[in-house]
Amino acid sequence: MRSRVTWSLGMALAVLVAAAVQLGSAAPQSAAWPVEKHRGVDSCANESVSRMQNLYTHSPYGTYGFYVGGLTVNRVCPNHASFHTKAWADAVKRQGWNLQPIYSGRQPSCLGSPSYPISSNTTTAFNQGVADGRDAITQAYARGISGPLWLDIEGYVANGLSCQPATDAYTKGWMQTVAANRAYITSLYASYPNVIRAASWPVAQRPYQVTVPHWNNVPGVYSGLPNLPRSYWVNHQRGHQYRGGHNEVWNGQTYLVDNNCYDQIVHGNTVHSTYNPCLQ
Amino acid sequence: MIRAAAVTAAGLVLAAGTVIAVNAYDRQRAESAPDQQAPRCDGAGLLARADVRGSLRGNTKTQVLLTNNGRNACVLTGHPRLAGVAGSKVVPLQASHGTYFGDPQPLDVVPPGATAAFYLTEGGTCADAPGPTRWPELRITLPNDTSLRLATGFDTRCGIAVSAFGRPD
Repeated sequence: MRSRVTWSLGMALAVLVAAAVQLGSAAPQSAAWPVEKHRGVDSCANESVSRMQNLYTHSPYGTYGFYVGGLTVNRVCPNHASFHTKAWADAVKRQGWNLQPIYSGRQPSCLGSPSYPISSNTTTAFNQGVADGRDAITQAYARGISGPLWLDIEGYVANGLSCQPATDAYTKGWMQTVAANRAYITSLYASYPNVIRAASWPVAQRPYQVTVPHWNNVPGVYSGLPNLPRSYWVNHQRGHQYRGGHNEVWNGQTYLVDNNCYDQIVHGNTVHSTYNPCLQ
Repeated sequence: MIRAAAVTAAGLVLAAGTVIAVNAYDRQRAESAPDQQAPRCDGAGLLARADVRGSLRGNTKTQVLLTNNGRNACVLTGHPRLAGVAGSKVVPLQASHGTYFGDPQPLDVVPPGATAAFYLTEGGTCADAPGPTRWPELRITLPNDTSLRLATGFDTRCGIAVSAFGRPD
């Protein structure tokens, strides 16, 4: 159902050198992580190692997104971050999984009534981003996670302009902090407007790669993201969440997941066979 | 010695097999099991309120809290059925079972004054969804076919899902 090969350092270097020139983004500081061109899932569930093995064996997926920490995660998925220990991460990587580590801290104040809103003061918001960036690194490091680290900024529509400056300040603070640590690659999960604005930020604060939600069941990171200009994030720097939360049954076991396509760097040491619909 | 070790190791189970009640839910459960003699919960005896927990990866989690305002314990299992309410308009909603956030911890019996919950999730990043889809109020129908109202805005544009009934987070 899915083939994989051992990651070649040479392959990584070739890809990453090319990526360095795109958008003026700072190059990833290490070549130790694979570019995944495949499908995966993310989940808020606490999946045991045995259930992860079942999912890996019987599904077509190669990358698994989980939350390493953050105030919002702790409130919305109780015990999720503490469940996903280094031992868990190591075990599922041995199974062949690559990982998409996600951090969800404070959220835009105009997103309903978030429990942990980003301050409306942009200076404070930036400092909150710095603090959460440090925490993200701490949480990832504790789990043996290096490489890409995603910040989850949830979408907001109503009254969105009122919280946009503070949301950007928070995100910049987080990105700048994580980018300063050479073990990590800044990655942003956010809706179109946020990602598009981020493309013009100073290099030190610009996410190296992005994942955009658009639940259209069209996997491609280009064709499936019609509102993201094709000239943005072009060199294996895109991910697409193409379906939201739902049940999937594999080998008789039910999993609660979102679906993602990757053409970007993930954490792990397996390269899965290219799934072409993701690259379109 | 062996018995003491068993109690220590299991924490909750005596050698005789009796479950130690650790809180009101468990006490009520122990008293009601195995035949669950309490009646099923009725909409008239519950009070609903929404507790928005937050969003992750586009999935928004609202925990709907159902407090037993009656004088007796009642049984609450299975999934709720939902309808959107706008004025006199009541439209049944197709909510899938199983949310991105899973199910709350199992709960069978709700003691008087205690609170049960279910998760309600809405997505916010779907494409080309038809409207209108914003409901100012929800009607929650319980397994015994009685219902209660929840005055909270809810968007069904990208689909909704519900969990089973269980304990609040």
